[in-house]
Amino acid sequence: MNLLFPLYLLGALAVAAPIYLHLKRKPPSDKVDFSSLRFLKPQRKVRINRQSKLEQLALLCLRSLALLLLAFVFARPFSKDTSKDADALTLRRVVLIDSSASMQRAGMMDEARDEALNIAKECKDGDELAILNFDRAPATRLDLATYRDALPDEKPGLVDTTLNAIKPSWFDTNIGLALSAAIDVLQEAEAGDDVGSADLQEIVLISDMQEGAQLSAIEEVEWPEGVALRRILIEPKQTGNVSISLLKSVQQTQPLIRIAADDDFVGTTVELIWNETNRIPVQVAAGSQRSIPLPDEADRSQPIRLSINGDSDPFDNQLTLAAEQASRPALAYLGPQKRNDSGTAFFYLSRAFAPTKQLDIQFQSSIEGADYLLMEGLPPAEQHNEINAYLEAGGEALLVLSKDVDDSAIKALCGHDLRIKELRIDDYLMLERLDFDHPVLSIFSEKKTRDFSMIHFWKARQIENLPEKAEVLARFDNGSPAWIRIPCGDGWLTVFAGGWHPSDSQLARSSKFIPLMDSIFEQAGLRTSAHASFTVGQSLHDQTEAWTGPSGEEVELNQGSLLFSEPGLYQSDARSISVQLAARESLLNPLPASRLEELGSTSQTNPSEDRESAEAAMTRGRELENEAQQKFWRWLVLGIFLILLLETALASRTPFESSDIEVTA
Amino acid sequence: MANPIDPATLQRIQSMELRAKMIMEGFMHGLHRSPYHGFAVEFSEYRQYTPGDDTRHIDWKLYARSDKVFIKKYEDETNLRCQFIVDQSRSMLFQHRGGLSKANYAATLAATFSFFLMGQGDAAGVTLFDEAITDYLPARNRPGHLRQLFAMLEREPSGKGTDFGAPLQRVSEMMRQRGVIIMLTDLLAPLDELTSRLGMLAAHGHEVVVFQILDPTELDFGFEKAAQFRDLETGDEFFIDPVAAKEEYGDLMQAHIAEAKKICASIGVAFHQVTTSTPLESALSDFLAERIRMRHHAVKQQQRGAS
Repeated sequence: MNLLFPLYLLGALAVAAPIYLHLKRKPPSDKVDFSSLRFLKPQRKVRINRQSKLEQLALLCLRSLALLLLAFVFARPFSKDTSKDADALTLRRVVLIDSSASMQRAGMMDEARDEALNIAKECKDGDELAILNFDRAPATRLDLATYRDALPDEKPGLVDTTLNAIKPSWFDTNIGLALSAAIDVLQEAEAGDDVGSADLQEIVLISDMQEGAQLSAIEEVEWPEGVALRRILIEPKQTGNVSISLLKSVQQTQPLIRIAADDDFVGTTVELIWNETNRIPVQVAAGSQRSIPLPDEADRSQPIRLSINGDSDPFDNQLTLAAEQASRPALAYLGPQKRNDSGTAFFYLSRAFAPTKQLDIQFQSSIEGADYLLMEGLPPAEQHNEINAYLEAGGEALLVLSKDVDDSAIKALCGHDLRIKELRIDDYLMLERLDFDHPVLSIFSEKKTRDFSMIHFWKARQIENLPEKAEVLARFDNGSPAWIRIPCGDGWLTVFAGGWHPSDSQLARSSKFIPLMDSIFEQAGLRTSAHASFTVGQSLHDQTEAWTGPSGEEVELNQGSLLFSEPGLYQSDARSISVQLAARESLLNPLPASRLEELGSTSQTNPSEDRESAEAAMTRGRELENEAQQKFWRWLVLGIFLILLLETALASRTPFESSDIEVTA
Repeated sequence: MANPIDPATLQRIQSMELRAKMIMEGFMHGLHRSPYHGFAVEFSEYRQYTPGDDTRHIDWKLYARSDKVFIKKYEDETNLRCQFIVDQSRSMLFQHRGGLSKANYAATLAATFSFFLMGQGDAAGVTLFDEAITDYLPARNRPGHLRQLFAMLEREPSGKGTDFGAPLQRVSEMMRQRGVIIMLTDLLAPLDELTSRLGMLAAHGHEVVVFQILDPTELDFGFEKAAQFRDLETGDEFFIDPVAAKEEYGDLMQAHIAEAKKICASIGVAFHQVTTSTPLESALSDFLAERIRMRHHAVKQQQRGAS
């Protein structure tokens, strides 16, 4: 026999009331004034009549029994159905461990491992566990099948080994991709035939949840029903970070160093150290940043190691600048090269990249030997084969569309069936939906450089029927693509739907033009800037030479592509490249609570977040069902009525009066 | 007679004068040809009936015997004095079931009698006593006397025990003229000295009447719950179970009353027992009816003596 509401049994304590009242039947102590006691005799001894006590005991028993049964009715007894299985739930859990550069901070990774270990210990027999670590992309360390197939005794060791193998990298953080991958893992397992569906599904995100983490990937994914998200925040032991980075600027001859302090920084000054001996104090307040040029006395013919001293987290305190090297890239310009005609596109390009000591772009008309190809309008058909060969070989080109474009020509050029037509513009168009996450536009990702609204386009072309792999960098405010990148063979063709010269737009005369072109050239591998810097995670394609990384070890190329995996100086025989941490990785403030809520908002309604409560809820549900079917309480209520009837009958026969007291003189 | 006023209702009227008037109004209602003549009227002689005489005064029994119509002639006794001796001991404070206390009942009864008597020209006085005389107002009939008498009767009893000896002795000393003495008491005291003291009053020529006023509970001991009982006069406390004690109490009480009656009868004192539940008009009318019966008895005695 089980009880649905056992606490109601406390009501049985009410039985004390009739017991007390029956015990209380003692000689009365009331006082009565009477005119004269001369005709009365004092009565000294009072005792309870034995016979009456027995009768009261019967009444007491009936009353007590009625109260006990009443408490029992409220407790809702039921008989447990043992034929059904025990309420055991299977849980499928994916643990995501942040191993981005920000986890390089002291103790952070250890704490994350400990949290993951605790989560793994919560798993019971029959549960499944997968462990993924993530920085800019997720990587599976332990999959569900491996964990499931392991013997119970082996599982703790397996988890331990997996966790110990996870080391923090220098990449930036993409929580969105990681969550998306975790969802995929769960959905694949759910859809798989070998195991079947789990009762509960959970994603555990162990991260510092830094403000600089990217979330856009998960925002496009609909959160699956029944998947709970548990967020475990790894907090640093010390707060207050100052970071150092190289500003991309082509205006300055000396590189600009940016020193940024977060909101929790308690000091006001840090030391900027270069080449380990030279120090200058830099004042920077919490939540602000300073941009200072590299001191003139720094010798730019040699690599310069910069660092800052004075904050709590050293992981982003280092910056290495490559030695200054003169660069003379060849740029094939197919179009009118009128250096003195301010109405042409070439006029602005040639002035934007006027020769300097560090960079001297060689403009040429032939494609042969060119490091970059720039086409103002479609080139003549006889050049198409040459251009295609250039692109197929992995070359990069920029096509600025002009009026005279026809569809067949562009199809012949890149092989894609693009539709081009002249846009009808009543007044002007502006740019919108710029992809600041794209490497080309990432230099404008900061808030104060994001404003492109001052650039108006009067003439532009509409590009339709984009291939799937095309990247849209920006659109006009009528929705038409403005800047796109299309893969052509091994190379990329960047297409501008409108020109930058004044007859088409204000782009050439805006402050965005030079950084934009600089970024495009940089992506193409041209060293357009003397202090060009790559960020960790970027790649350099089509490399044939041997490269050594910051640690001095040779870096393996992956299909001719050099991936920058740590900050510092990458060197080959011909050149050296400085690589710095992604700026967003230094944004260490935790994501706002509301933003975190959005990450798994649909899962908040799922009660399975607490497994025990979910199991208890299931058990409770079965108990309620059993009780509702059995309804023992009806019989008990009937019993109470009968007892009360009996009690009433008995009480009416033997009323308790003063005659029940036998008095002896 | 109209419906008598319930003593419990009367309790709500504080003024003794108003109470007495109300009782008298109820008592007199419908008695225009009342046979009562009161205390102040004494039978003196017969005389021959002459037309115009009040036929109420014809002695019909004499007419039946002698076939002659005689009128009973009465002599007004305007100097009749009535002294009420009211017991003010603490036992008189007892009341049960929300009725009038015995003291209140006695005072109201005395006030009503006084109102009645003084209304027909007699004199009335009051003596209050417990263990001794606590207050004394001689019998008079003058303006304002009645109000003074009422004021005295309105006082709350403050005495403790009851002693008949000394107070009655003192009354007999103070009342030198013949009169009527009406004692209102519960008689819940030793009756040892009652015989001698009342006998002495009767011997002085006073007409003595004893009203024993009791609460109904004192007769039936109608308590329900066992309790600690406290004597109002002595302060003694006993545990009493009413059910067990009722029978014996009843016996002893009745024996006490019987002894009191016996004493009164032996010395020619009229004895009336009333309870506080008895309407006061009834007590008054019963008393007057008793007196008329006694008068007739006295007339017969005189007639026998004359013949």
